[in-house]
Amino acid sequence: MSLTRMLKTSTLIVLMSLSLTQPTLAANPHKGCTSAKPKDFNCLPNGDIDYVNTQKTYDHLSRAYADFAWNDFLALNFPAKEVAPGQYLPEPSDQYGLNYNQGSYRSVWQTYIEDQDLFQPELPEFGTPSQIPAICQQTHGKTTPKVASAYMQANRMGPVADIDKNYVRFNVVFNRKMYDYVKARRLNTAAGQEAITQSLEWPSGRYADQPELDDAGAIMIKASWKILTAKDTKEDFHHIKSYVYTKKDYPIPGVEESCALETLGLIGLHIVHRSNSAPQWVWSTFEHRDNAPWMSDIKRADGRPENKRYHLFDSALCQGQIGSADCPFNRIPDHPWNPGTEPLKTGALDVKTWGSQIVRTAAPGKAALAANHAARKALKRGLGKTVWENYFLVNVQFPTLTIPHGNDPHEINPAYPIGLPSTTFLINSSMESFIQGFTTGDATTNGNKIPDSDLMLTTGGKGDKVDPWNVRGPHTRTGGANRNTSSCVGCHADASMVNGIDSGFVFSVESVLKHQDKHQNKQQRSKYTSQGSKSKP
Amino acid sequence: MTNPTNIGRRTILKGGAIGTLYMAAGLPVLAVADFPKIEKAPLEFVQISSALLGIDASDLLRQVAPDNHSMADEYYSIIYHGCRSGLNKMIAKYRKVSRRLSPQQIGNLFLRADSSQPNAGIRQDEIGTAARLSMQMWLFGIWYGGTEMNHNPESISAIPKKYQNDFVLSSRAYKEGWIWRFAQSHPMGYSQLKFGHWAEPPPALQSYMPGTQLN
Repeated sequence: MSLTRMLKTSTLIVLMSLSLTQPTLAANPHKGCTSAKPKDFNCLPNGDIDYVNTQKTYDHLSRAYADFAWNDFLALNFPAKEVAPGQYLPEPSDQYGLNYNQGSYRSVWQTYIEDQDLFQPELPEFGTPSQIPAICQQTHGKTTPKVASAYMQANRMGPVADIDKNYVRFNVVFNRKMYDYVKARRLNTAAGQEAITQSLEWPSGRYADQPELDDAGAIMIKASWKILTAKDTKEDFHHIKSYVYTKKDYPIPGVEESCALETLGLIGLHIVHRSNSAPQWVWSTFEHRDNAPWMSDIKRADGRPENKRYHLFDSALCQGQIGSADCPFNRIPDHPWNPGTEPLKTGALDVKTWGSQIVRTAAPGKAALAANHAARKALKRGLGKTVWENYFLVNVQFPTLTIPHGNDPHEINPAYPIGLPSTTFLINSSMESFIQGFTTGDATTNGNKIPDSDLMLTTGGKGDKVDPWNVRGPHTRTGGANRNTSSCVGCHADASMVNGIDSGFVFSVESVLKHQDKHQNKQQRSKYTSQGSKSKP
Repeated sequence: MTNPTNIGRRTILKGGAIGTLYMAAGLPVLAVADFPKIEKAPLEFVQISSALLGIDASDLLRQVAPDNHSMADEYYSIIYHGCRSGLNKMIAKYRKVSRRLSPQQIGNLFLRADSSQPNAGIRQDEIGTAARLSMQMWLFGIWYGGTEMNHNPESISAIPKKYQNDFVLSSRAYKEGWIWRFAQSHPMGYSQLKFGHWAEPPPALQSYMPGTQLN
């Protein structure tokens, strides 16, 4: 036998022996996922609830959507599969589970594309890390691919300052399905959007007994992060290393460009998922347990909050009854909204100057309480202690009026395009901090009492403090004023492309205008508004 | 105007998004403290309401309502306390006639002094009062106890003192008023339609009441 032939044969033998020892990934690609997850949840997001087999009562449907939200939460927060050092796929790891590394890891959703990367003229490949600003690389080297910069809440409501006087940071990501939809239609450009003449119909997920990877439909996520300090116990959070970047002169002139390398703790997560039964999407939101005190607990304790460390409320600064001049709450920080400004950096304890003192106006929803209880039980049973036991579902918003077609795509009733959502109002205290709805004692600007039926209240569970995991505990009785109190779908229904045509509840499509020449922007805006039809003023 | 306990002019909102909703009516909103205990609406109440309004019962009482809040229960609770005798008589009458009369005939029976005469005038007994007050709650989200008494002084015996005035039941009741849907429109500050809808013809009336047979 020649040397060449021997080498070929031995190579073949080595290759064959390797194939015998590899796990049979083709047969069960998520084997590790299966063994490391809580028993009752999938490692992959399901496409939808099982609408056909869910009883058509409010209690059953709201519970089904709450469980659906929890499955999404755990599946999307699963450790992502690392295929090479620092290279991750948007699928669950087959080595690690939700109890990995005390909550510090790259999760599946963190491999999704960020909004500032998706809606720019040169569309990167899905999975390409965000560009690291030069100042970050110069100051800290190429330490992490993650960049957190945004600190303005939706609709430019303002930033929210945490107890350590840092602004909470946000980021928005989109899954592969959404990326592909954008790419196929060139929605990352104004020209591409202008060519679209009908409302966008993002991919919709369908229920499956065994969900498949990448088959869940469109999913978009918004996260809120706290910069962790020595006073925080980082193992209480899902946490990552990230640059915290502040852009020059944004959102106001005078903001200096800066970059810090920080450990960020997850304090809030919106998961928005389009499904066959919910053409208006399913909107769920999760919070960390220690974000803020509950208004009902404060009122029960004669108007003073419990003296403990919250992320967004400093009990030491509350020197009087809640709502008095000595204990304001839910305050938008004074201008300038500049994270580098005094007294934020000096730590001057003047709540009247820097805000925010966030209080939660209402408890989680009734179905959310039950789903939280079930999820925490499953986590503890399956995995013991994890950071995920510190997170709870606030509530989930789903349409109550569509034209149903079993587990196939439901049609939108043209008289109810928003779908008569329930819960009517939905808030995350870290992301819609200042539009949480009215509470007892609130008045209009003219000093008149808000009607009782419009108050966001905590009800039930007499005598009990709010506990997001207590099935029989106090829960929310939703109330508010439309266009005034936060409603995910109510606000997102206004989303349109640059040509004014409905963008299917996705606001970020408009951001293509940011990447164009300012002069061209002005011209384009004039062009669209002069058309006079659905354009915004 | 006689006001129920705890409701005065100070409860009328004069500003803000909610206030503008009520400026035109100038009516107070019922405080939750004054709201009667919620009673579960029997199916007959929904069926009677359907006959009075011409809207199918499945549109009035959908399987799944936002926030699990039944408008049928809200309206029934008010009339249960605000015109109980008339309500009970109306339901009893309905049980007797519902098998042999069409919804149109039932509507005429409860609203007209003589259901066989188109120009007979309004029915003025307790059943007529209950029927009108029910319709108006569904249409406008408003209890018109005061107006009823002004137009039909005989109704004073049917309506307890606490309900002898006009008031908005709740902002939800106002927003959900069927009058807006009949107009294929919506009240100020509240809409289930999307941005830019004003550039298009309104949705078809049938879409607002998919279960109702329209002529």
